[in-house]
Amino acid sequence: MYGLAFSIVKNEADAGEVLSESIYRAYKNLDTLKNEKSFRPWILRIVHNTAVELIRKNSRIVPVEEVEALTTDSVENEITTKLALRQAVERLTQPYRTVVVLFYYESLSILQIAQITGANLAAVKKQLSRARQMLRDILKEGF
Amino acid sequence: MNEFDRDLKRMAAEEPMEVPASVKKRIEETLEGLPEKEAGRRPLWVLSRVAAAAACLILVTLFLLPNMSVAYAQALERVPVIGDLVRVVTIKNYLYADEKHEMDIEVPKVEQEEMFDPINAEVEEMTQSLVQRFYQDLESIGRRGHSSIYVDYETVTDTGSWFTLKLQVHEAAGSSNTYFKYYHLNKITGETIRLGDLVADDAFYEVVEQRIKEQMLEAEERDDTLEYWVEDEVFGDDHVSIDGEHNFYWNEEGDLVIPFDKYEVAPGYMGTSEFTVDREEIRDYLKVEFQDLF
Repeated sequence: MYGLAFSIVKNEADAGEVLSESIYRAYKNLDTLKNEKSFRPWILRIVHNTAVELIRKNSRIVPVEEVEALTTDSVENEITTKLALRQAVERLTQPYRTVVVLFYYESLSILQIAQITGANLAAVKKQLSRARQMLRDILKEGF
Repeated sequence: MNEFDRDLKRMAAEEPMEVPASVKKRIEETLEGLPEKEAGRRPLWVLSRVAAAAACLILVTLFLLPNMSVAYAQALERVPVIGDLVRVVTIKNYLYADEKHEMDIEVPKVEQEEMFDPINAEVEEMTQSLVQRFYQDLESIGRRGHSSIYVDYETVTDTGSWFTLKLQVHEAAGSSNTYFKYYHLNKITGETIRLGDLVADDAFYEVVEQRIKEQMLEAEERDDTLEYWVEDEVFGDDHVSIDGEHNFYWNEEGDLVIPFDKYEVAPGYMGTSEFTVDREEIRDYLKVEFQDLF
């Protein structure tokens, strides 16, 4: 939960606020959880929405189109890195940062990610594909 | 899953994820500040002890008793949205404030015939329970967190045949919640009315739910910043659930308005919401005496 909140708001104080608000919302709406097995995507969606709300409220939204020029044509499977994955993830822009956190850290499926972020399946697949490429480059580059 | 994905998932799993102390503290405060569920309520003897202890922290406590100040009571009269036949005054105002907790609960009373007694009694019971809950939360949260509760009221409808009083409750403890309670009186019969009392055919509820869902989807279509929990695979599709106890009121056009509390049908940023169902669409499902009330 903290990883997702931080990936969106990008600072400790706001991430704490997002978690606090999310816990309260989840507590208030626990009766609406239809299936216990859906708890993780359910709570993560609350965290995601709360974080997005906070950004909107503070007018600090990062345009989805804003992507750093990190892509490259070279693709290698072996990861030789001097960096922690977390540092690499923090260099990504949105929506790639959120997708990466949900896919690699939370081990959610593309369908679940789509449900949490509100994007459609095709968009999430494309975002994940681009995020992979960026991560490859960042991890190889080692800053 | 390709090798790259497997490697990254392994790295993610092995990477220490330390939640900062400040965030941990914030989470603990939120958990401690969560309002208790009804089942966990403390007995009244605890309440009275807490209330007595809390008294030294009270900066302002004011009880406006009936008829104690006619001028003040008149000043607090609320002008109804429709008509002005019934006089509603604030008879008590529970106030509390310290550095971390606030309460401002206005208790209205309909100063009219005996037929309003049931509404007055219900309002009294509800506001009393909110005052008690505030003091219970005050005890359980203490100085570890913040809490507040504000209760306000409004006369929504007052015609020759119908009276509706709305109580609005805004609570905050960690986060905030807003909800309403509507009280209705059929002035012709002198009976208090709930939504179920209007209904002759249970298909009424399906029609109302369907119309509301349609309006939600239309609103989402028009504005992609709006979000309602409708046709949602994760959040389910039964948030729009209307039964005989659900809040409602009639607007000036005589159409049915269904209000929803914060978090009831949408994320918190959407706040409270309400949807109007055309009277003609539900007329046939109403009892005859209510079909042409407005």
